[in-house]
Amino acid sequence: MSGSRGASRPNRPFAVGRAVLRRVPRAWAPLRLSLVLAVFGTCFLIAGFAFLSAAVAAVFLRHATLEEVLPAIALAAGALGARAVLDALAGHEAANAALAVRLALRERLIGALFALGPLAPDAQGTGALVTTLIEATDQLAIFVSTYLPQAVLAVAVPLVVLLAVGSRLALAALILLVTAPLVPLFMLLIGRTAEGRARREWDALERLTSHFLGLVEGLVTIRLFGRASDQAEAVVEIGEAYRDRVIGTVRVALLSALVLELAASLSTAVVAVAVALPLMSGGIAFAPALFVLMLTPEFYLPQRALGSAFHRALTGARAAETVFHLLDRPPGPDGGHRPPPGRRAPIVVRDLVFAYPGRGRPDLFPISFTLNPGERLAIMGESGCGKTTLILLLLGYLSPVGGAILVDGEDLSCFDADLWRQGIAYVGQRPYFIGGTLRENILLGGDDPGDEALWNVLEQVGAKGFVRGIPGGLDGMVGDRGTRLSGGQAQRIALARALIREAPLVLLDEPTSFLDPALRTGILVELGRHLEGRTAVIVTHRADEAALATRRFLVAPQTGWLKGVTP
Amino acid sequence: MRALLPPWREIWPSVLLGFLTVIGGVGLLGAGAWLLSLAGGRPASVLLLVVPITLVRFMSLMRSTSRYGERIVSHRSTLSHLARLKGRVFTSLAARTPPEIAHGASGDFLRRMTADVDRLQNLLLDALAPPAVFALVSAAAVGVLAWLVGWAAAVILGAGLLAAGVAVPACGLIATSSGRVRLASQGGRVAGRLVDAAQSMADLLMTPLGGSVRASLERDAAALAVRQADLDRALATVRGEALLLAHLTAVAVLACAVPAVRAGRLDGVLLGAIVLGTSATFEAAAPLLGAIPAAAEDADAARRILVPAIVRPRGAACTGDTGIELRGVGFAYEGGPPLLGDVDLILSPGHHVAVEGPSGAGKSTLVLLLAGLLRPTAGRITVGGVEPADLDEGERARLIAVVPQRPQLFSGTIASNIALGAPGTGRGEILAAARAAGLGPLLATLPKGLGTEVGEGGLRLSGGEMGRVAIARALVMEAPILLLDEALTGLDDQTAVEVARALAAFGRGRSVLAVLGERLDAMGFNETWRLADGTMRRIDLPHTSPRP
Repeated sequence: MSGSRGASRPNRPFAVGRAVLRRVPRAWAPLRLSLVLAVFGTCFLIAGFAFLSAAVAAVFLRHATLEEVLPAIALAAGALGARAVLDALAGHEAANAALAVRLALRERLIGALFALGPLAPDAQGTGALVTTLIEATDQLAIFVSTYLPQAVLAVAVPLVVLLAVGSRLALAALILLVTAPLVPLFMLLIGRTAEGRARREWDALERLTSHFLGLVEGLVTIRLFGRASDQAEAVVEIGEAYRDRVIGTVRVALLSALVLELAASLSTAVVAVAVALPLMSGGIAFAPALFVLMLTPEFYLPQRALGSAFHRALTGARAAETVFHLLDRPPGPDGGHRPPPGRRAPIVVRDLVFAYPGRGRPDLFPISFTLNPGERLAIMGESGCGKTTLILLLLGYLSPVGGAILVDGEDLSCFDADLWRQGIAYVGQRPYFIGGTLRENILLGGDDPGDEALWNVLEQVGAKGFVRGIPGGLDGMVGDRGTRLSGGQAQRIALARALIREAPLVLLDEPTSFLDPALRTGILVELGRHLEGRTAVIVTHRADEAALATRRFLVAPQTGWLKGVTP
Repeated sequence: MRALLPPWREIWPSVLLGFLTVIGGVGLLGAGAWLLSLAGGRPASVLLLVVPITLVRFMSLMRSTSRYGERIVSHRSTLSHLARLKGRVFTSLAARTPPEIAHGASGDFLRRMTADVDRLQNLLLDALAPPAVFALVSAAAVGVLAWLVGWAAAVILGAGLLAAGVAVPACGLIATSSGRVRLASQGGRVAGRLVDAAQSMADLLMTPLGGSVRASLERDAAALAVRQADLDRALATVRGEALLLAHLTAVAVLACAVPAVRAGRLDGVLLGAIVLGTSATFEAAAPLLGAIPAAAEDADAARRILVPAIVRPRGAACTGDTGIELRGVGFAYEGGPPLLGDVDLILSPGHHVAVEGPSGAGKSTLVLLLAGLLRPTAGRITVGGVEPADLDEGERARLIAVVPQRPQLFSGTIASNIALGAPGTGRGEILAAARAAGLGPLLATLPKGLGTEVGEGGLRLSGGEMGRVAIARALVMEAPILLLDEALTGLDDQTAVEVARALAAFGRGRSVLAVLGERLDAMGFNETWRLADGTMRRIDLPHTSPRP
C-alpha cells in the first residue's frame, strides 16, 4: 500500500470511513441509497406529525367529531407508516453496504495472510490474527454501515427538521439553532478526553483476554502445579481491578451521553415554555405549537444516536488500525519471474543473517556454506539457534536481513518462488492437515500413484499400523472432522508426503522429533534410502538424524559460526 | 444457569434507573403538550402555567440524570459479572480438564469458549434489564391510559406495546434462529481453519493445495458475510415493524380518545399529552428488538459453558509413604475407544521406572492419570493409599512434580515461571534449579538473567528452552514423586546428558517415572516397561541397569 501514515492509520471517523470506502468502492452505492431513504423517511415523519397536531387541535379547540378529523388521522397514519417502511429499506441498504465491506476486506486479508506466509502469525500471534480477520472486519462493517450514515444523518435530519419548524414557528427554530452547536462542541471536548483513555482501556481489555486465554491453554500445567484455585481467584481479582480502573473512563465517556441527553431534554423543555407564552397571548396558533413540540426531540435524536454509538467510532478506528496494519504489511518475498535452474545447481549460502521484525535478538547469525548437488548437509545446534529460520529462508518464505542465498550463482529472490518450492520436499515441525481424507492429506494435490504405492510409503514411515486402525483407512477422514492424529502420527504422515514427492531437494526440520526411539531407527533407514542421490538439508540436534548427511555442521549459538564436524 | 446470572442487587438499580429514564421522556413530552394546551386555552393568569412549567423542567432533568446513572451502574455490574464469570468458568474447566485442553487446546475450542464468556457478560445489558424496564413502563402506561381515557385506549396501547416489544422481536428471532445457529458454527469453523492455516503456513504453502485451501477459506468467509447480511436485513425489517407499531398505536389511541373528549369524559387539555406520551412509551420497547435474539444467544452460550459439570476433588490428604500403585487401571476419553486396558505397576520411593512405547499408545495419558488430572475409568491408582484425583490440589502439588510434554509458560519472568510450582522459593534455589536444568548458557546471554520477561511482549523461548524451564520448575518443587513426559525432547546431546545426570541425582530417594523420549537412558533406570496396545509389559533394554 502506498498510503501515507495518516491514511493507513486513520483515527478520525470520516478518515476511517474514507479509508475503508477507498478499499471497498462497492459499498458506496448502497450507503448513499440508505441515506436518501432515511432523509425521505424524515420528511414523511414531519408530514405525519403535521396531520396529527392538526387533528389534536381540531378536537381540543373546536370539539371536532371523529368523522371530521378522520381524514387527518388517516393521512397521519399513512405518512407515519411510509416513514417506517422507508426506515426499514434504509436498514436493508446499510446491510448491503456492510456485506460489501465484509466480503472485500476478508478476501484481501486472507490474501495478505497467504502473501505473508510463515511471517503472518509472528507479529500479532495467531489469536490476534483471527480476531483481525473476523471481529475487526465485523466492527469495520458495522462502523461503515451504521456509524457513518448516523454521522451524516446527524447533520441532515436536524437541517430538515429545522426547516420544517422554521416554516411554522421562527422562534422555536431559533432556539434549536442556538442549542444545536452546543451538542457537538461538548461532545468534542468530552470525546477528546475519553478517546485517549478508552484506547488505553482497550489495550488493558485485550491483555485481560489474552491472560485468560493463556491460563486456559496452560490449564494442565497450572493443575500439575496445584495452582488452579489461586489462578481462579486471580482471574476474578484482575477482572475486578480492571473494572475499577475502567469505570473512571466510563464515567467520562458517558458524560457525553449525559450532555446530549441534557441538551435534548432541556431544549425540549425550553421550547415548550418559550412557545407557551406567546401562545397564551394569542401570538401564535395551537396546532403549529404542538407540531413544533412533537418535532423537537426528532431534532436531537440523530445526534443522540450518534453519541451513543460513540464507541463504534472508537472500535471502528481501532479495528481499522489492525486491519490496515495487516493489509499494509510488506508481504514476504514473492520472488522473481524466472524459472529456477534445474537440480544440478549448487546452492551457496553467504553470510546469511535474519531477524524477525520487532524481536529483540537476531534469530540467525551470519552463516555461510555451500551445498553441491547430491550433497546432504546436516546443520546441528542447540534449539533456538535459528535452524528453522534457515529452512524458511531456503524455502524463500523470508528475505534475509543480510547476506544472500545464491542458486547457480544468482540470488534466490530472482526466481519464481512457487516453482522453486515445487522442486522441494519439506518436512516441518508442524504439518498442516486439510480437512479431508488421509489420502488427500498425503498427496496434497499431487498425482495418486495408487493404493499399493501409498501403503508402501506408509510402511516405510512406520504408519501402516495406525492407518489401518483409522476407520476408512486411506479414505478415512482425518483432522478437524475425523480422526485426530497424535504428534508422532502427524509427523509420519508428513514424512510420507515428502517420500512420495520425488523432489530433488529435500529440507528436513527435526523430521522425527515426535517419534519414539523404537520407530525412529527403522524410519531413518528408509529416509536415508530415499535421500540417496538427492540434495538435502537436515536441521536437527540429534546424532541419528544428522547421520543421514554426508557433511555435518554445528552452528555455534550467538555467533552463527559453522564448525565442520565431518570433512 | 442461576450461577451465571448476576445477583439481583446488581440488577435492580439498572432496572429502576432505566424505568425513570423512559418515564422522564414520557413525562417531558406529556407535560410539554399539557402546558401548550393550557396556554392555547388562553388562561387568565400565567400563574396557572407554573405547575406544568415546573413539571416539564423536572422531567427533563430526571430523564438525563437517570439515563447517565443507568449507564454507569450497568457498566459496573457488567464488569463485575465478567470477572466472576471468568473465575467460575476457569474453576469448572480445571475440575474436568476436557481432552481438548489435556492434549493442547485447539484454537477453535479456546475461541469458542472465550466468545461464550464474552457473550454472557452482556446478560444484564441484553436480557435482564430491558425486559424488566419494558414490563414496568408498559404496566404504568396502560394503567394511566385506562384511568384517563378508558379501557379501549388502554387495550390498544397494551396490544401495541406487546406487539412491538414481544411479538415482533420474537417472530424475528424465530425467523432468524436457524441462520444465527449456522452463523455461529460457520464463524467457529472459519476461525479454527484460520488458526490451523496460520500456524502451519510454511507447510501449507509448500503444497499445491495452498491455493485451494485459500479459495475454500475465502468461500467460507464470504458465506459467513452473506449470512450475516441476511440477519442484518431481517433486523432492519423488525425495526421497521416496531416503528410502524409505535406510530400506528399513537394514531389509534388518538382516534379512541376523540369520542371521549366529545362526550366530556376526557378533558381536551390532556389530548395532546396522551398522544405524545403514548408514542414516548415505545422507547422502552426499542431495546427489546436486540435483547431477545441476544438473550437467545446468551442462553446458548450458557448451555455450552455449563456442559462441564463441576466436580470437586474430595480434598483428601495423603498419609503414610508415597509409593504409587496401579491395579488393573483402564482409561478411555469420553466417547473415545479404550486407550489403556489393564495396567499394573508399583513404584516405590527410590525406584526409577522408564516407560516407552509407540506414539499414541497413551504414555502422556498415563502421566496425567498418575498426576491425578484424569481419573481412571477402570481399576485404581493410589498414592500412599489415596487416589491422586482425590487429593487436594495443594497436597497433590506437594507430592507430585511433573514435566509435561508440552509445558506452558505464563507471562512473567523466567524466575516466576520456575517458581510456579513452589511459590516463595528463594532466588538462589531458583538459579540452582535453572542451572541443573541446563538453562545456564541461555541465562548468560540475557542481560536481565532470571528476571527476563517471557511470553507475549517478552522473550520468545524455543521449545527446548521452554522444556528446560519446565524441568527447573519440577526441580524446585522437591516433591517425592517425579513424572517426566519426554522431558528432554528438543535438547542437544550434550545438554541432554547433563540434564539427565542432574535429574538422576535429584531423583535419589524419590519415585521417578519417565516416559522415555530419548537419551533419558543417561539417567539409569531400575526397570523399563513398554506400553503398547493398552497394556504394560516389562522389557529389558541394554540401558536398564541400576545406577551404581
